[in-house]
Amino acid sequence: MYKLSVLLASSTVFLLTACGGGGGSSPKNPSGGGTIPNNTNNNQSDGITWVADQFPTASTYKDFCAVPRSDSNYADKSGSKMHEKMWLRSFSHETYLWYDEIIDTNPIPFTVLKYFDQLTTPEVTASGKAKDQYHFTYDTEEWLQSSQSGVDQGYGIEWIFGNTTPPRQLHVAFTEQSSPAAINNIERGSKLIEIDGLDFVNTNSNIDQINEGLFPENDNEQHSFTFERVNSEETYTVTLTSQAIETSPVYNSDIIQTDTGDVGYLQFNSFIAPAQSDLVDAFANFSSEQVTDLVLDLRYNGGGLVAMAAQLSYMIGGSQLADNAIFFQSHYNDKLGAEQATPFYQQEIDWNQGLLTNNALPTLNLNRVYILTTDRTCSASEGVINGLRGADIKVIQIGDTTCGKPYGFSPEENCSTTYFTVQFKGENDKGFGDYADGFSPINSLGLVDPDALIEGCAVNDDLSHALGSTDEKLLATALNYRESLTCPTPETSVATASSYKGNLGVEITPPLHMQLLRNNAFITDLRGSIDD
Amino acid sequence: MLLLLIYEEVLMINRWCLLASSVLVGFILVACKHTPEVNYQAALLVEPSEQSLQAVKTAVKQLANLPSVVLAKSVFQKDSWLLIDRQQHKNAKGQLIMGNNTEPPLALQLVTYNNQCFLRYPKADKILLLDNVACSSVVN
Repeated sequence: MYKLSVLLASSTVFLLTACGGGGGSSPKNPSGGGTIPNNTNNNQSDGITWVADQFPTASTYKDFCAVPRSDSNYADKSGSKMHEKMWLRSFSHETYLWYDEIIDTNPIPFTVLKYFDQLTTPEVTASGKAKDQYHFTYDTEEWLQSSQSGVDQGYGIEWIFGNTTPPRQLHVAFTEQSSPAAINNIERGSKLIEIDGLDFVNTNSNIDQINEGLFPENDNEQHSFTFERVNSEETYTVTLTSQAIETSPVYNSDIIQTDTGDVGYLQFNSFIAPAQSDLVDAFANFSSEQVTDLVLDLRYNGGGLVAMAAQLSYMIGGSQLADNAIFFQSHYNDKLGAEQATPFYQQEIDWNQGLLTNNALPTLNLNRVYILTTDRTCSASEGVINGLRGADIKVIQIGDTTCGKPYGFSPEENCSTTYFTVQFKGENDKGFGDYADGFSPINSLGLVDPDALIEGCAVNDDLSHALGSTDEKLLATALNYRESLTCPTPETSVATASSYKGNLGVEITPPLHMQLLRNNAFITDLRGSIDD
Repeated sequence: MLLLLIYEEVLMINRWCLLASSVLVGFILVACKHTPEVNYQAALLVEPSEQSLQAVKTAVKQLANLPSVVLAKSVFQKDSWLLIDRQQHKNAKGQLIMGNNTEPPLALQLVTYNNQCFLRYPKADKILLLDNVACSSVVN
């Protein structure tokens, strides 16, 4: 038995960190707006002086808080907002992946959170998007909110957001089996029209009530929902009662018979520990039935445990994986220097004990796999694509461009806020990890990263057919491509919450502090956003 | 109701051991080492009521120091182990924040000894007695 490799905890990261320090060059101007005076008065606050390019160790300022907590679980001491900003500055300088691209700005004019917001690289990707799109904070109490693995509070609906401002678009991706939503026959593709009689599509008021209906926090909350059926103007109304929903990460597992051999189809929605047994069962079945190909549906899989992504990839490639290939190599900045290699795990993991067992995983030993994607295919899911490609397994991508998140964090708490700053990038065995614009099928329209194009077909998600149906467009395209190597004419991607830039009306957007259904987008009033 | 007794699981030091400690430190080290550990058995809840499920939830929060936790109604009825994740927090684009997660879930186990139910948190070497909660041992 071997101890699992686990990411270095934040405290360990600090232990590995070299101390700051450096030259005394003039302060740099962040974004060209105004000049920063370089006199002592304007550089000093609460007895702390900011000196450009000089970075005391983060521990100098850690836990000195403007509003210290009395909770004995925390080491808060009386301090100031300047302490908190200076901690953020040094913490970023020590651990941020692109620390040397941060413009060292005088923290004094900023609030704490606004200062953190700008402690990022100003650089952009090949498509013109911000190089760092993953810079967050959470209220610590909310970040610590937890749930039984695979259990969500709600009705069992997986939502897809389209427009986030009026006219809003919110569709049902799927419902969890045996959930209130499934029992009430809510159909995939249904468009939400009303909640509790409130106009969801066009209203600019009653946002709190809509939030309460969409995202219940307790059991036994009842709300009515009116939906419009897909490709129809017919509506239907159901009353749903909230409960703790046990999700099914392995949502579909089937074998499709074709003239050229049996094809396994697996829809996998989340890399969480309880999924392991169902994954193993599915692959054992595929193996015993001797499937000749696999269609892996990751269209709604936003990631999770990297170790499980490594297991899944092994179960696909097995003996076809390049010898001694690494699945996922984490790279930190040159100060931390730590690297974490995740192999293609070949055994089951005992998640209760945190140990690799001696139980060998089943494997299909395939040298190619079809992977279905949307822009919600993220992180560890993209890691499967990248890891397999790095080990010489051909990935054929059917669907839309993935989200583009090869990065990760070690969240760090200070003074009631938990901070997320990119600290590592994952690369495959060939050293490739630059897919911040996402992986795209090679015939995609629009701006795509030429370095992250993959053989396959660009196809929009098909809400008009059941997942797992051979009539559903992504699966049908995969099966057809397998036979003919041809794609349908690519379509322009539909607008999504992540790309929509509307500015009229109250916007629906994920709040910074919600604890909600997996893979949802959320509704909130931006006026309530957190700041100090 | 949750009983407030907290035991250190491994350090089940008996009275004899404590007495010895005042006499001879070297001796107690040997004596304590040979003190038999309590033989907890993996367990499942038996016909849990709303109250007993609430007691379990309170114990989970207390042991793992969590402000809130969502549990399935079937918790500890199919498996003596419970895995706890952070809720599926999202960024402003609706993407899972910890999408490349290398942090394993917390693991807690329901156990029984002497006709009493306990919740243990091995990582922290802590165990809590669950009062008025019925459970039975199971091979797990």
